Amino acid sequence: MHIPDGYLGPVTCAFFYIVMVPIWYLAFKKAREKLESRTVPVLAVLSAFSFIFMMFNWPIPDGTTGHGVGGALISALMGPYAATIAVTVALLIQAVFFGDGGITAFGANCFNMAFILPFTSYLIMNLFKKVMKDERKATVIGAAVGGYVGITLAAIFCGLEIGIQPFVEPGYCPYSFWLSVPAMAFAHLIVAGPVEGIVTGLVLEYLYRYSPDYLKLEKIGPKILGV
Amino acid sequence: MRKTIVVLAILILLTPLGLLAPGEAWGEWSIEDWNVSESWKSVAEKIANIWSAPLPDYNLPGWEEGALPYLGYIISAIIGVVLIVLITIAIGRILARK
Repeated sequence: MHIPDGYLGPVTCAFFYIVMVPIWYLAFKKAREKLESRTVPVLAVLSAFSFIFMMFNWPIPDGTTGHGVGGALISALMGPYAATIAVTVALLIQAVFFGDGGITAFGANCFNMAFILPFTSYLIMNLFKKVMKDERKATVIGAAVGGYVGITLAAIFCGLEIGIQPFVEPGYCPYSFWLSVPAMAFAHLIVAGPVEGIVTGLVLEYLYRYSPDYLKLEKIGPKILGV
Repeated sequence: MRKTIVVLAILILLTPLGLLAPGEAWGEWSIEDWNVSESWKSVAEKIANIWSAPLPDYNLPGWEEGALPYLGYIISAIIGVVLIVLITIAIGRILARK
């Protein structure tokens, strides 16, 4: 889901940087209010985990590969704005040092993986918390389902962004969304989504059993659905 | 904390498993492989050549033979994790309340 340089035209690139500026601003503002110095190392480890998790490419039956992001897990533990910061840092290092995701497409990649994914998963997890009585079950199942839906939605956004190029800025990605959206949705619905969901659920279940303190960290995010 | 470092180290050593999946991610091809005219590619390549990463594809340049790409992948993972931890802690220190 890492859009390389050259796939998006300059206007699309600028647009997503402009969209991300207020999101990054709010993430830093909320972190300034709620982040505690004792939990900074936790955020650093989660950001590193996201980076490593994205290195595990999984085979997709159409001959391509896909990977999880870890945004749903970070969102469940520390809130969606914390996930925005952690995933943005991972994407920055990937783009600058490893050429994974473009510099010009960095805004768009952050929008998909550091905004759409963690905020969608958080919304869905909170929906489960509202409906289910058992907080623990709601968190584990809700974050897992949220990760599955969130990463798939992020992938569909990614497909749309590259797929509209032939129509809005010809000269860049030549493949239309009739190709890109189904390809991105397929890879994430059947492989990368389940990977994101299952890993999110398993890690949360493990933490509930052996280190439940990590479930009590202050969430850096807006109140969604009163949770 | 020690337990966390051990878990991260194990995950880093396992990252070469991520190289076993055949093919590459949809929509992450080199622009050379696009099925369009050379003039079309030349426009997109101007943007694509804006930045050359020092460790492209999570490998050391030239480490193509045998097991070297797997080793390069692990080294890249270590470099990435160290940089990310340092940057996130720096950001966190600036933002966090005491």
